[in-house]
Amino acid sequence: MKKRLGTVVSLLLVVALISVVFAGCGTKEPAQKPEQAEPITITIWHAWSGSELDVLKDAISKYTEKYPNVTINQLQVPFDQLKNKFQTAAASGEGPDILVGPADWIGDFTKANLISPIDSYVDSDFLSHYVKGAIGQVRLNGKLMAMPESTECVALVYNKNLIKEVPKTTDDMIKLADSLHKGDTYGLVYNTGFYFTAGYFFANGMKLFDDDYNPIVNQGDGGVKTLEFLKKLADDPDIIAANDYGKADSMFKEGKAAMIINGPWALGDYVKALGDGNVGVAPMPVSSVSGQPFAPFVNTKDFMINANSDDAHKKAAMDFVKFLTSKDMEQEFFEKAKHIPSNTDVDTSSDPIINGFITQMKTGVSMPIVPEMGAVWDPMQNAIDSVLAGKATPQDAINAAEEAITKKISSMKGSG
Amino acid sequence: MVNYSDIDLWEKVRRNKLAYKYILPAAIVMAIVTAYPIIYEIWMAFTNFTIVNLKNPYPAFVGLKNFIDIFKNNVPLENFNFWRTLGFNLIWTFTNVFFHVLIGLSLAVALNTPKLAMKKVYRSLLIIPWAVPSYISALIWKNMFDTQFGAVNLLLAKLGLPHNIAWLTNPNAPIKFLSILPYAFYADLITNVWLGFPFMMVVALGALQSVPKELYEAARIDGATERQQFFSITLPLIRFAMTPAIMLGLIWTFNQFNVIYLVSGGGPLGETEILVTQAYKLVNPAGLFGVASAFGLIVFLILLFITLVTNRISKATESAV
Amino acid sequence: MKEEAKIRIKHLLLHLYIIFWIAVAIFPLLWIISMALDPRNISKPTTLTLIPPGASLAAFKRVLLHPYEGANVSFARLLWNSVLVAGGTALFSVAIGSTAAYAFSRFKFPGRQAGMLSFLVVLMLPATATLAPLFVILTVLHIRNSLFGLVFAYTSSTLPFAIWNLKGYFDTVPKELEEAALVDGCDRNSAFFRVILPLSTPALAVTVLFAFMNGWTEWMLAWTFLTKPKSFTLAMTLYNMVGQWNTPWSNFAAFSILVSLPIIIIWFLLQKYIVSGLTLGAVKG
Repeated sequence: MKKRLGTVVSLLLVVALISVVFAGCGTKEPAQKPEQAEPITITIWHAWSGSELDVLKDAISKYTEKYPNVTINQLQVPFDQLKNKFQTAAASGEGPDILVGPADWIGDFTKANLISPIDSYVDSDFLSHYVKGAIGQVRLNGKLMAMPESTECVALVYNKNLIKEVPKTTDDMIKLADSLHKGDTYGLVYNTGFYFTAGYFFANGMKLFDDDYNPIVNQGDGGVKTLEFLKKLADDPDIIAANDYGKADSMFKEGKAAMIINGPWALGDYVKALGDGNVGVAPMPVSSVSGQPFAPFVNTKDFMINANSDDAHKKAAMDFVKFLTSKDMEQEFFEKAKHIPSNTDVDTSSDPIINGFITQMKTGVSMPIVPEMGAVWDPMQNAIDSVLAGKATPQDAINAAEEAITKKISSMKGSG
Repeated sequence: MVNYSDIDLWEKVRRNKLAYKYILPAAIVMAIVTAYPIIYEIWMAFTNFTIVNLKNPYPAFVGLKNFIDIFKNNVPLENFNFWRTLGFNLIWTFTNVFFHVLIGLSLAVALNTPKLAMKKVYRSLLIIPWAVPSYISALIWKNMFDTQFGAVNLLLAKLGLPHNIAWLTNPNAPIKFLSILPYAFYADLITNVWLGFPFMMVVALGALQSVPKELYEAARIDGATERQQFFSITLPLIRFAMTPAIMLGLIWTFNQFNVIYLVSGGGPLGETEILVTQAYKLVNPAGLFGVASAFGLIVFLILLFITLVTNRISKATESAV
Repeated sequence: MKEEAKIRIKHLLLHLYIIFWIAVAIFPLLWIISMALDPRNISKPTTLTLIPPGASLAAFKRVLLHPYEGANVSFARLLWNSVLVAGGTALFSVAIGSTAAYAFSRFKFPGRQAGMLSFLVVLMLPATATLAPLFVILTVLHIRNSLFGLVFAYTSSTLPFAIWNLKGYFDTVPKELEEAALVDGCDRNSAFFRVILPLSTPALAVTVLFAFMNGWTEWMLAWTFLTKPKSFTLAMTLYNMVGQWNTPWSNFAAFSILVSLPIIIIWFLLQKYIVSGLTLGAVKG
């Protein structure tokens, strides 16, 4: 009797528990219907927040009002989880119809067959309305793998209360920064991440790849010269040069940094923190080493289409993507979220701050999206870090980077 | 209980049917959640699985190549050095757990002092580091180790000690005889000791409660000093509850991802990388699933070895029966 | 009189020692509070002031009214989901963990040592490469996109602790107590439920607390598996605030405080059991 009681009690406990948990969350995903004329639901995953998310929500409500048979589910995912989440889901035959992500994901996703080409949904007339470089960037092996929404690059962001005129050359910049350092306030807080410093590597003549995508970062003296320049910044007690985004960001917001290097995404916060008219954007100073202008990476944010979606969903998803990249919506992304449009019909003259980035972009280089690009980031970062830490000479560091990139690329090919 | 030595295995199993029934539910859950992924991982370890194979899962069988590459440090990842990482991982684990137990146990004993005022308040305040999700604390500590504005350097400056220490980026060791340890190790260590001592304190408190007060009274009557009481009554009695906690602590610390990843990021130049953060980087961003799986299996075998050795030493699985 | 003075000095030293560690424990949290009150969204305050200029509670209001900007999910809903996941993990772990721990503690059966170790051993395998297969298996079981799937996955990571912690404690409960019960006509089941479990309240409380916290704070698996904002948890939405470049630090800090608070409250509640659980304790035989 008692034995039964014990078993029953413990079983009941477990059952009660399971049912409680189930009751709260037993909802099933709605079945998706393939027919095109029928109501259709498409999903979009993104890492947008703040005003860009507001524009997306606005676009969805405008679109679904126009096409009531379409339902659009958007899901906001933390940026550092988005790639992994999409990868895991798409590999198991699931995932959203549309993914919003940077162009450098395209190489991996194409190789793994997780996204599908969109050539059949767009014609050359349609594409002629978009920035050539942006369309060029998302083309891989002759196929259009995504639709660019906006372009990004980094430039000099400065506090107009602290400096009146932006320096023209890097030597001027260092001199100016030295004179501005007082207590907690610094003239220059320079981010030494490779993404932020690449512009000087390229200005000084370094190239990443030859035509066959073999690394050539140690050819010429561009790499060494740039590493020496960065070391000079780091050793200058009046300048903060560190691979630390949050620090530069906080100091600028507190008015403790006169000049930093950053991209258009940060402007909204800066204007809010320092007040309208106090934030300026200009091209980075010309490299005093080579006399060449700063040549930052230009990168696009893109819409990609899941290879698992059936034809009806792909078509519906592309229709919505075309709507998102239409002149009206791109104008809204530009005005409200400070996105630099990929659509050339958008009027950008209204915003002088953003125009600083557009000027900088003219001397930029398009970031390659081939998988080989993925092999570059960490070795180059490592070269920078080891030189700044005094662990390696610039020449040794750049040679080591070359070797590491070569090794990475060959391991990718070996298994590809 | 019964002397089992002269009955056969099946008879032993039959007599203990109830024991198996008691374990079954737990075993089922573990099997469902972990069995398939583990088998999958073992298979991947012998292939050249990369991101391409996520959807078209037919990688080539490469035998022991992944393992050999790891031991020879022939892996396309920055600062990859298996042996240095392993050595650092062991130092990391034992220093952390040492401080966890030392601080946790001392606080538990202090809080267990009869008639000490404010006990409840103290206890509640002391577990706060445990109650805050660890990734929040890790981000805060990272900021506290900032060179110019971090609270740690500001405090050192106030005390007149050397400050302006580049905790997280300076690879030069502050203590000469431990030259493999950069400042970042101490930053990670301080963070993780802060995170981990409340757990040991709570376990020790739970264990101390089970020690009957009568024993201390008897010892006092016998004239034992407090020190004698601690070593002859307290320690032996709480050992049984503490040992599993210490073993778990070793495994958790050995695999402590959040602190290393968020505070020092394995830097500078990979010197504070531990095995799990290295394994993570093999998958993300490197995408080398095959190597990562082989790496995982190696980590697994190392931990198993450590556990078996500690287990033998402490006889933790020795039942009280 | 002399004895009393000695005790006083001893208590004073103990107070100082404990207060030192409390200061260490609390100091970093002053940063969170300061950040939450700071309207400037700063991740690295360059000076440490508990009450920053222009301090306000606006961040708390913002996250309470609008915790997840991706969709309209109320704070209450997220809280409820977190309670379900954390509570489910805690009860599930203790329910199946305590029986297993009892078997390991009291029976000497073939495979016992191996069984105990194997529960611990699965914790040792770094799971970084196994997210994809876990995704597949939970999808096959049709629980991947649900809170129950999370409870299931979390339980597998809390069970080893539950079993080892409870087993360690059961070992200290004298077997004479159950033997007496068995002599009185109880069977093993009721000896376990009526004698052992009630005597083990402190260990059960610690186990529950631990499993609860695990479920309460985990976000990585949750972000990989769930796609419905209606079933998101607090930890997930908190993590979601850390952006690629921009993080609303005030909101993040305020949310961190709100997420941590329930754990601290639960500790207060369970503390009573941990403190006074056993007065006539068990001496190991």
